[in-house]
Amino acid sequence: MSVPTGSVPRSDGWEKVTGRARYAVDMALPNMAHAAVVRSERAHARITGIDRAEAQAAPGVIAVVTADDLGYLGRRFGHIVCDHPILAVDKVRYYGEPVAVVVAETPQQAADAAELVWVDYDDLPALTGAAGALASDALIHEQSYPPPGEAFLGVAPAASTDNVAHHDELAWGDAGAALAAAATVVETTASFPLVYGYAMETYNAVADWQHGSLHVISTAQHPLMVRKELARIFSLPLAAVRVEVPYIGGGYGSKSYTKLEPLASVVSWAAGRPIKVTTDIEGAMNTTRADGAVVTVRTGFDAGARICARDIEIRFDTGAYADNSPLVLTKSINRSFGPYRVPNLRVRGTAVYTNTSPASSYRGFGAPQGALAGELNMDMAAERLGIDPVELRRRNLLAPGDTIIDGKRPLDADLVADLDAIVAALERPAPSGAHAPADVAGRVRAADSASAPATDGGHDAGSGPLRGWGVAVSASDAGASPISTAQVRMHADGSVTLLVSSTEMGQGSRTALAQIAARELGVPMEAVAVGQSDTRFTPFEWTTGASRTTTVVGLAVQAACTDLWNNLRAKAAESAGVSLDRTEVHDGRVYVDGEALTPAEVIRQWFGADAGEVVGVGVIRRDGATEMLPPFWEIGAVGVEVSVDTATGEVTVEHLVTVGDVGHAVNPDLVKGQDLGAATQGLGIALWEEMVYDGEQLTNPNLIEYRVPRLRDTPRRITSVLAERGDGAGPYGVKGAGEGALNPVPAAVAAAVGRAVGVWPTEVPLTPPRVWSLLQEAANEV
Amino acid sequence: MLPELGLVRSDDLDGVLAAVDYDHAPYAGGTELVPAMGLGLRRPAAVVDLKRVEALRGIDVDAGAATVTIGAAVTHRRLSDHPAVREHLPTLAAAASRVGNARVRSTGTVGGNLCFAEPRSDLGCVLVALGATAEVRSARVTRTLSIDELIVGAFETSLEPDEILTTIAVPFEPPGMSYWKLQSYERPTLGVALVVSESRWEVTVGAATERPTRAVLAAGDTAGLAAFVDGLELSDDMTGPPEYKRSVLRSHLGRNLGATA
Repeated sequence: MSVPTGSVPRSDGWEKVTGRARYAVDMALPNMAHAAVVRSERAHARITGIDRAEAQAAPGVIAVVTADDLGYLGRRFGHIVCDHPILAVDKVRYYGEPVAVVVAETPQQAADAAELVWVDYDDLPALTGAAGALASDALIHEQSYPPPGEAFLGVAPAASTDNVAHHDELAWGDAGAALAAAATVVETTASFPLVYGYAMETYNAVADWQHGSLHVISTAQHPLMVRKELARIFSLPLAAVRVEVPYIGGGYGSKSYTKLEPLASVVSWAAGRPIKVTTDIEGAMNTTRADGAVVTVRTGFDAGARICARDIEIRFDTGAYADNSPLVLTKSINRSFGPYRVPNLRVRGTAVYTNTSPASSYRGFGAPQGALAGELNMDMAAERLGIDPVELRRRNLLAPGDTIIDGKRPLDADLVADLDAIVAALERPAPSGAHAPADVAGRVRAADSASAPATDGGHDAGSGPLRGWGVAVSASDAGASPISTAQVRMHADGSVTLLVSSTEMGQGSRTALAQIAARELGVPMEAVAVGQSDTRFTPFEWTTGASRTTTVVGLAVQAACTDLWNNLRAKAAESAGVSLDRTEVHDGRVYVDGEALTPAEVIRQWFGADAGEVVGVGVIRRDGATEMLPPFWEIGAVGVEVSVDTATGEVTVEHLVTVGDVGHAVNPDLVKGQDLGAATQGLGIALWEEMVYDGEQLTNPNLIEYRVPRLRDTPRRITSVLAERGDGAGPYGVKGAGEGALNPVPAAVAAAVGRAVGVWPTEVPLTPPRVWSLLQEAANEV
Repeated sequence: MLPELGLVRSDDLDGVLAAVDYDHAPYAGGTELVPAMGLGLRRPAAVVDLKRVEALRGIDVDAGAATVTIGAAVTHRRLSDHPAVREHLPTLAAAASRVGNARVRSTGTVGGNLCFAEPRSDLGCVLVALGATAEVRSARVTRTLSIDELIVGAFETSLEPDEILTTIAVPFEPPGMSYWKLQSYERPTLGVALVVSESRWEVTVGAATERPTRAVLAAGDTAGLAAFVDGLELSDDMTGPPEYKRSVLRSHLGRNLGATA
């Protein structure tokens, strides 16, 4: 019997460690055929012909499917802008776009035959960069698309394309006038790379269309969102579409909304067989990535180093299709100016279509893009103002209860305390040494580098590595729409099956939600089973995104447990033939006239047998604790210390400090795991990860050249702090964790490297050759 | 995705040599061949398993000739862990212990590494610096080549389709040898093997060059060293532009030869 509080072991640990956990890629249906996707070999071209005769005649081939074969089915998907063809219609918009699908008896036969599909193209200008796409007369989308239904979360797509997928603004006060009147204005421009949300499992789906119904097993983070789009494409009622999601081998937002499911489904319809579609790393990189960004921040300060205005321009490289990027852009705007008092603000954002892999959600959801320029700007400002960068932040950070954006939930976090916790853990050099006199505006020589110990194994014995540190903070208005349903079914022995449609992608939500149910019902962990999400059986859940689950689904579970207790009480009263007011519930027992009954006894008594079950349902909507949006502000607060090898430009992260400002940690080990994982992903962006297009093609569509963090890249020292102040709207004061620790990391690393080297970076990742270039620049300036 | 493949197995070298040709690719660890097949760059009808051939698996010391003879199908792990290799070829053992990752070291072999001729590799550079020779055999003929004659370009060897590399004979490591690499990505960006004595500087540069490139200079010949470094054609790829690699190389040589290259 284990107590459900604290860092209990993950309930899926045994299955996963022994390799017996099942993922979508493991799934098979009887009589299943296999699909191979024929992908575009042009970045932008008209399709003038597809010759499939040779492929159709190849061994084992059942069908070769193109957009022409889809009958009455919808041709496009896209929950905000319905711009994304399931299979290319008339033209292709990026290298790697699905053009046709070969269905065969075996995966090998499908793959072999896919090479025999001949596609003729008429080339169009390939616009692989956002600046070029904005300047070009060539249109990637010649037409506008009607929204697929009601405007999604109030995001209306751009009316005319002009290679703009979305534009949005946020403003108050008069930023222009305030900047003109400011004592000091500091401007920063920083580029955020195209990154791939690498997960151990790629995108995989099995689909089975039968007359009047569709069954899909896939890697979808949001099965209910996928169900909605599939129902529209197939003109089926929601109930006729079943989306099952087993364990997902990593999501990071990259598996949110609809990805491979329409393709697998329409091919099953066309071929008349259950179909399995899998992707390799290259196929996954050609399915979704994160938005690249160029962000310019201008901040005005008064004589007391207080922010008087920020003017921010965000330009996203959104790729060939909008997917969720319009919403990511809107959130990026909300998150770009930081959790500071900004009396005058203007933020303008544009998401630009380009002929590259389509971008969408990615851990942090627009926050890392904005924070890179925004937080680096604070460090540059501190240098210009001659103030310690921690002190500059402290002076400008919002206090708990302050308004960040009018009409939204006030700040539910103590950021100054978080910052103090970082500084205490970082043991950074004294502020006097941290901001040496700047030699020129925008440049700083780091005094702390001179005193750094030489720890580089004897290299560069003359000077030793340079050292630098950086801190950064961010606050995200969690896009956690409070729509969630949970069901707890208590069985005749008092054990419980918990049904939710949250997906388990490694974050540990099944464990944390089981802990909440066990705690509410007074049963041990072993007595709670959590079902796999399956739209036919598990109740409605908006998404598994925005770090929502422990907060929003946790509230639904808590409400379901309350409902279950009420039902037990009513049944106990009914069995005893007494009125409800003679019953009460406490300490895991139902009391009837003071006599204690276990829940199991109540159930057996009521059914008159050792059988039956009692169900509790919990529903969360915009009401009560979750009436005000966002349900919580997700906080990112990190510090890093780095060393830089002056010969090679290699950056070593000597110390990483994360502060998880989570209100309450239901399972502290899982929260720390999220913080370390998110921060490590941020280090990947800061130092290594970048999808590089050379001409029309991605040059590094593999994990040899798209370098993700490895064990040896782990910071030499890690300090993980949890700030539990009970200030969240979730159960026991919970707020979300999972993305926050990524958001400020690229900015903190860029600031640290800038301080070490003496030149502020303008882009990440800070690969060794790029840092070497900064070192050359610094040497030339001295 | 891998195509369906035939598999030829034999316990003896003659059986293997009878099978190998353009469509029957020799196969040991598969760490290079399998990805190449996955990408469709190599499409043999069958693979010929070398792992069971005893003659390709030996590590033999000839004290008289002061050489260690290494079978082509010896894995990086076995090479790096072998006491005789650690004693007589410590730099090679250390380099092998840092090839790729644990999975590659457990299955990947010395022969596969050399025959794939991936420029971004450590062992070729170290073996060129050591003056190793390769024995190459087919059913027709047996040849002995220097590593420099074996690796003729990027992904290019002088092997005929029916030939396999059988053994590598490596002279005992001379005093004053070192190997250093810059490896920021999955494969090395730059590898530098040095053999420094009172009279000579031997410098072998790999990874950033199409194939390992060696210079033998009189000790103190800084002008010659500079000319060698300036004359190297260095790759321009994601791991950095040539000027970056040249700078890192100069800095390494400067630290280790006390010279400004």
